[in-house]
Amino acid sequence: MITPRYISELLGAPMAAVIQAEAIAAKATANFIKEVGFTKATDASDPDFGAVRTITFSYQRVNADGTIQTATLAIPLLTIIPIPSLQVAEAEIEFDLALTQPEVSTKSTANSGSLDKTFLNNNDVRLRAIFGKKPSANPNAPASSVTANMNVKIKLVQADLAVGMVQLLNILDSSNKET
Amino acid sequence: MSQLNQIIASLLSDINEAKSKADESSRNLARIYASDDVLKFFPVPKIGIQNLEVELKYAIESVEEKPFQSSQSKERLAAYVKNFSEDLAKELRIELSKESLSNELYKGLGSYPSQGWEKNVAKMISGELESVTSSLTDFSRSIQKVQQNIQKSIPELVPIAVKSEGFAAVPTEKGSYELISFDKAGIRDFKVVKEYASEKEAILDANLISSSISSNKLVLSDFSKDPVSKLDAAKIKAGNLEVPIQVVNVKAASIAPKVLFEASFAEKAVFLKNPVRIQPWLIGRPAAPAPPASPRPTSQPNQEEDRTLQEIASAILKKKMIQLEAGISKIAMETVSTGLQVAVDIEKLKLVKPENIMTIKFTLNSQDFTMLDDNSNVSIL
Repeated sequence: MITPRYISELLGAPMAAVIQAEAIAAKATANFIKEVGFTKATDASDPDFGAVRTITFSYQRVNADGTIQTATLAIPLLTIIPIPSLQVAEAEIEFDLALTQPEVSTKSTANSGSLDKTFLNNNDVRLRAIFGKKPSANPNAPASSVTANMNVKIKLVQADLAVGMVQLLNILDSSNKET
Repeated sequence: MSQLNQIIASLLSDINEAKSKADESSRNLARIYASDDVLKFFPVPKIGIQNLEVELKYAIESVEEKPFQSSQSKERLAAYVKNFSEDLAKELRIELSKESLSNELYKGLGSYPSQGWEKNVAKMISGELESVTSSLTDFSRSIQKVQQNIQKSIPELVPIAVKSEGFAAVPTEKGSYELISFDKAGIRDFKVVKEYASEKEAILDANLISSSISSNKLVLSDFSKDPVSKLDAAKIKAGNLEVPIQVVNVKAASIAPKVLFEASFAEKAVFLKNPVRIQPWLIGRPAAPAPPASPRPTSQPNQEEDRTLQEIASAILKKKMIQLEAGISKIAMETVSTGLQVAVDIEKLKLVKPENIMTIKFTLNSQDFTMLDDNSNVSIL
């Protein structure tokens, strides 16, 4: 028997999964950059990454006075190969839930603020559910114990960083530089 | 079984909590990104809900209508009841005063009821109605109870007159009773110059005078005319009772006092000796049955209590109480909360016929997850 979970957990899990998936993709990109773009031959100036991996080639160059000169060119590898960088632009999550008996608990009135307590019921309801299958279109189909009665569709998009988040990143960035 | 509003509130709360979990995940990642030399140049994954649709199937188990009393509605109700109490007391005073002035029996009441009477009655009604305002549950029954209580108080608040064989014990504005003699036309004839504490005492004297008239034993003496008021006066002796009498109707003063009083008593003697029973069909009013256990003297068969003022008060009370019920009902209707008791769990829904299963669908968009300031910009809060 699957344990029913709170709706917030069932809704939050796929949303957090999208974020974490994106982070994993970003991490993979970062690793790609480290492995492909740098030599790992550490030196004092760049202890982590080492030197930039370059492609060096020489070619015969004709000067303005007609003389021929052998020239050598070093190009960072990262500039000539595509870096796999993925970002979730949009995600759609849809699932069906079968709700269980709601949990009713009496709210403490201390946090009710100035709202009229008699209007707002003091009973707090928490919903729990399990994932279920879509209800059958055929009304005569035998009802299954996991036939869902709630359908949720969530469309996610990349959000701009909130002001607070930008501030946090700036602090972290500057603290890194200072150490 | 829960209310639909609680279910929706819980869902919305869960959606918010889910979004906060996603944001929390972004926050943790932001720390990791900032500490990584390469990732710090990457945008931190952060999602926003552009659109969220929820479709929920539920079954209605019952519909509940509960009156709720907010402080605002309580104030409104209290104000309504206060106004009603004052209105009712005012209407009672005006109507009783009108009747007192026009009804021969109550003319002695003068300007009754007074402003003070109105104020006290309004206070009494308001006090009685407190039970109605404290709880709107079953207010109809409470109003009925209040009506009964006020109705019970009417005999104490409104006086009656007692008629007996051409005499009547009538209330006066001083709070006492006086004995008045009425002529055939029902007009005040003369009065016994004596103050009675109650109508019973006055009626006892009336009975004494009537029986003396019947047995021709009434003695009239000391005829005089008041030099100032020009009112005729005399003295009567009926058994042990010896009291002065005075004409009430000044128009009759043109006749000599002796002639006037003798004619008046002769008329009463005729009536007492040959009582004329007024046929109910003639006046269009059934004969009032005598109260079985009346505390008032019943030795005189034609004694009749006149409750005109009390009847007026009762009629006004009845009429106004209907208005009160309608008024409170209106306020109660405005402050009623309808709640749907629904079942959302799949185990219960399985037992419900498919046609009885309802669906609620709601959509939230990105604006619903964004706090905006007054200028519709994203708030930093």
